[in-house]
Amino acid sequence: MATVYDLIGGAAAMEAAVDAFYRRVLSDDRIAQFFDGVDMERQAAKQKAFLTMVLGGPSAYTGKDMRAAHAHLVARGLSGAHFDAVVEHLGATLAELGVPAELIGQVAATAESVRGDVLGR
Amino acid sequence: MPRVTFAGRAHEVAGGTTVLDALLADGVELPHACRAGACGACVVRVRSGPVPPGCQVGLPPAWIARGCVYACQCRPEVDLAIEPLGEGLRVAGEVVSTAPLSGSVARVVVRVPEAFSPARGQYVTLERRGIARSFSVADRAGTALELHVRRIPGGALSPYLCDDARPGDPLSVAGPFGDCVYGEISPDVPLLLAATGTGLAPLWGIVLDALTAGHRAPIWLFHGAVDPSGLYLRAELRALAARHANLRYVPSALHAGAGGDGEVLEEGPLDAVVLRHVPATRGMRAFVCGAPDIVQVVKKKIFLAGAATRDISSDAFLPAAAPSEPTRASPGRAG
Repeated sequence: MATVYDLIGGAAAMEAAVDAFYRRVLSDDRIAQFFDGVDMERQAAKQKAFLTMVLGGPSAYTGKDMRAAHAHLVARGLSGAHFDAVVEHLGATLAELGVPAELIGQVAATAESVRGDVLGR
Repeated sequence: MPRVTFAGRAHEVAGGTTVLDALLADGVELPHACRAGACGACVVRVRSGPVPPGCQVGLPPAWIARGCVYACQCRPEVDLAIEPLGEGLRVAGEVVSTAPLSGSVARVVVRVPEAFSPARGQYVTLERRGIARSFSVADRAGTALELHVRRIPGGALSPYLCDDARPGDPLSVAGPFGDCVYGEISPDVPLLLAATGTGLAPLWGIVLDALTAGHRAPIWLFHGAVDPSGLYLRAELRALAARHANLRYVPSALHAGAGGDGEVLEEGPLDAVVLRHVPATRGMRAFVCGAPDIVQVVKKKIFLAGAATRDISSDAFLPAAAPSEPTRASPGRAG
């Protein structure tokens, strides 16, 4: 079965997708503070790994990575509301790329599966 | 505990320790500066043993192929033998001239062998008496490299380069590093160049290459400083912009006032000045060089204004770091 990753054009399309997603996230005052002082290239690489994972592409992302990578943000107040905002931007990005609503729901469900790890619960 | 052999001696490297720290602790005077895997001062070659992961990120492909690693990023898990950079990677150079560009910045010209040919905008590491610092190539005439060096009071190399260097003084030169170069950019892509301090050097190089290549689209050059005394080459850049209709030169200062030569400068943080002139950056090719914190902010703002991440290159001039007080030491990437 084709994944959303394949549907939007696979590896070749990821760069534009990551830019669109990352631009939305950084422009959102609810969550932008968590990206202050963060190196853009490294952050974009992480966003790409995250997007690849939730879209069903080839990924080596693990819950352990997620937990360790976000621990310092949880200490700074990262909450479920912030997680929701990111999932919202994920959906909007995919809609912009022409992904059908039904598949966006599947992707959101995958993203939901890492909520506990991201929030350190 | 893994051991690293260097210059015929074996050194123990405790788990998680870098080769650089282990050698320094044993009294080996390995040149180093930023300790962040960027400046290239501490690069050595692995002669035998596996190259540990993560210590070649950012090195030129030809160097990676020869087993070069950043000693400051190299954390071996098994025994290694390393050696200094060999012929072709580190070359013998000499000082041609040094002359002030402003109260704090000097233009230093260094002659290198013909085979050593960095592009304008790339950076090289100069080493003298065991002290190495990296500088961007602002211009190149044959084998003469022009570098912009900011004098760091009490610095290990910049006071010598700015004030005491004499023609013919020997310097060891390594590199070139970095990808802030004009390269193969289409002449119809607008350029957005923004620098603080001697971050102007690589951008000056890119401007020269762009104009030489007949770049047709607009070229925005922003140079920011804390106060007007931090700017330099203003008359030259204004003259250059007067000769090329597509070159727009915007000097600015955080605290502007009169610019010293009667000109009133734009005031404000560099990112705000850039966006004031270029509110939409989609489709532009951007280069941002200079102080790391400002580079980061400017890059982010340029990205949010529409440019793709792949079209934003940067060169953060990292400070020389001491192991115990990494943020307080004098800047090592003076230009």
